[in-house]
Amino acid sequence: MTRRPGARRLPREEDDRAMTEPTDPIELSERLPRSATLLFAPLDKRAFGVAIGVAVGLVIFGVTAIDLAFPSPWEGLGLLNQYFAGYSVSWPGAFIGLAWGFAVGFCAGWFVAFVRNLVLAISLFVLQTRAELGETRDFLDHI
Amino acid sequence: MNSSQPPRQEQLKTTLLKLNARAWGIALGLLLGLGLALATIVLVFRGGASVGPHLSLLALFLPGYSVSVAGAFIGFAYLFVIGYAIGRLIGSVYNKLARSD
Repeated sequence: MTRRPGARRLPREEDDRAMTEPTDPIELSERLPRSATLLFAPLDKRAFGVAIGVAVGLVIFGVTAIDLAFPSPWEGLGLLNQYFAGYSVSWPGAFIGLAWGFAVGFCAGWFVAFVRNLVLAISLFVLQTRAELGETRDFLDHI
Repeated sequence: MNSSQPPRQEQLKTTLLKLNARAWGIALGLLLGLGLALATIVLVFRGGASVGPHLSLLALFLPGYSVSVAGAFIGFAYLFVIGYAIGRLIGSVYNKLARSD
């Protein structure tokens, strides 16, 4: 491909996009701009669950580790074993807390992403239906 | 993927959200920091014989923190940093694991 002299060189990313995006004007007009697709882009439930799980697990592990670093650990943290069976303010307990935190965080993150995606899908459906109804409301006038 | 769908609908279903790790960090940091600062200030203004005996236990993990106006600022700084780190971690882990579109 030849370039006009003085033409701006596309950055690599733009080059790739130019190669993969359609050039057909009809197909181009059918495609949504990137910003519009991101408005309703769903979250990856598994990835979000893992991200929250890792964060919660590390927080519980870190708090237990900091507590253990003191000469006389604060035993109040041990109350967590009311919810996390097997947890205690000890090194094995810190790893049990890490596992529990990951499990609980994963479930919470997965559920948050699921509800978010569901609400977005419903609102998208409502918007699309309203737009379609609006387009066909006066169809009798065109007959 | 259903290729019979119009490109717009297909695009909406296949584009996955990526998180801005820095924005998540700042948002979570502000949320945690302002939450603790507000809780501390409320207890300080309510006053009483013993001000915030339970909240002051946080000083075990956040050296320098106390249930006072100065402690509210110190607690804000601590929790902003911790929240930023957690938010950044969530954003980075998610972006690593999310399927690319």
